[in-house]
Amino acid sequence: MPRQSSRYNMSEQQGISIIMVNTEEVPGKTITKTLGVVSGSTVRAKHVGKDIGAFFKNIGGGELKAYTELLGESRDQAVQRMLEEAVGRGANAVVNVRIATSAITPGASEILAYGTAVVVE
Amino acid sequence: MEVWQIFLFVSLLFVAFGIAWALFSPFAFIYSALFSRRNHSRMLDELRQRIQVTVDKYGRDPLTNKKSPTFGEDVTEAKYVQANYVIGPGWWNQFIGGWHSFIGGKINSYDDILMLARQNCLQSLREQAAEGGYDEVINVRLETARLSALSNQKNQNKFIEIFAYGTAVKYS
Repeated sequence: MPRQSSRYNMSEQQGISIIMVNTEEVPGKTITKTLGVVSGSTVRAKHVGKDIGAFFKNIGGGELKAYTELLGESRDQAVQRMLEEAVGRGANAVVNVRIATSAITPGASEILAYGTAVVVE
Repeated sequence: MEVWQIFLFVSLLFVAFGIAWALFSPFAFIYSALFSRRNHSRMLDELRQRIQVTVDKYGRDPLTNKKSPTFGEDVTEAKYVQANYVIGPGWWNQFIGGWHSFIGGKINSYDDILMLARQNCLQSLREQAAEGGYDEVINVRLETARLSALSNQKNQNKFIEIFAYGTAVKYS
């Protein structure tokens, strides 16, 4: 079963509520101000034991849980960084979020999350 | 312990690993050839049942990749949802894939793998929407990436990552 992302703990921990959607507008609200593009990225690798585990799992084929977990965590972190930047700019929502992945070196991958920071009412 | 003893020990270790690998890999390949396709279709059947349960609950498929609600309903709440799934195609599929890149043609066995990963991601979005009591997931996007672990030019593991994301909305 795929990893289900946890709720973004930022709003819970710091008492900041920020809306994040991947549509062009926040449904039901109007945008009053745009604050530019915000982005967050992270590069992560799993230790070699997990790599070997995945190698053996790949003989029969199937889900590689270690990697699913790894990429889920890194996505959460990239999104987290993006939200932090948005909060720093005084935004209360991020719209049109896009996420891109690239394998930069063997065994590690970069996740980039970007969107537009806006003020909504 | 002298230097030559350490050297001997290390080289014996390498030889032992080599022998173990030479014995193990043919069996692993045969296992993969015999069972991987069957396992994948079994997983796909289970997944189809899970999808059917959710779709029955909603009465329709709650996913859409339109940018706004289909009938212009008023939205009261929106939340970003995402799911990802990394899948290894298996040795047999990799072998078949390599063979087909030589002779050309359609590769059926890879279809199952990709279908399995994509449908798993989409099903996860549906389940997250159902859990939170959302009515629909709009603007669903799918992405595919290839991971390479422990890879060099000769022996690349072709792990495939599928990632799906969208906005779950509640209607008033």
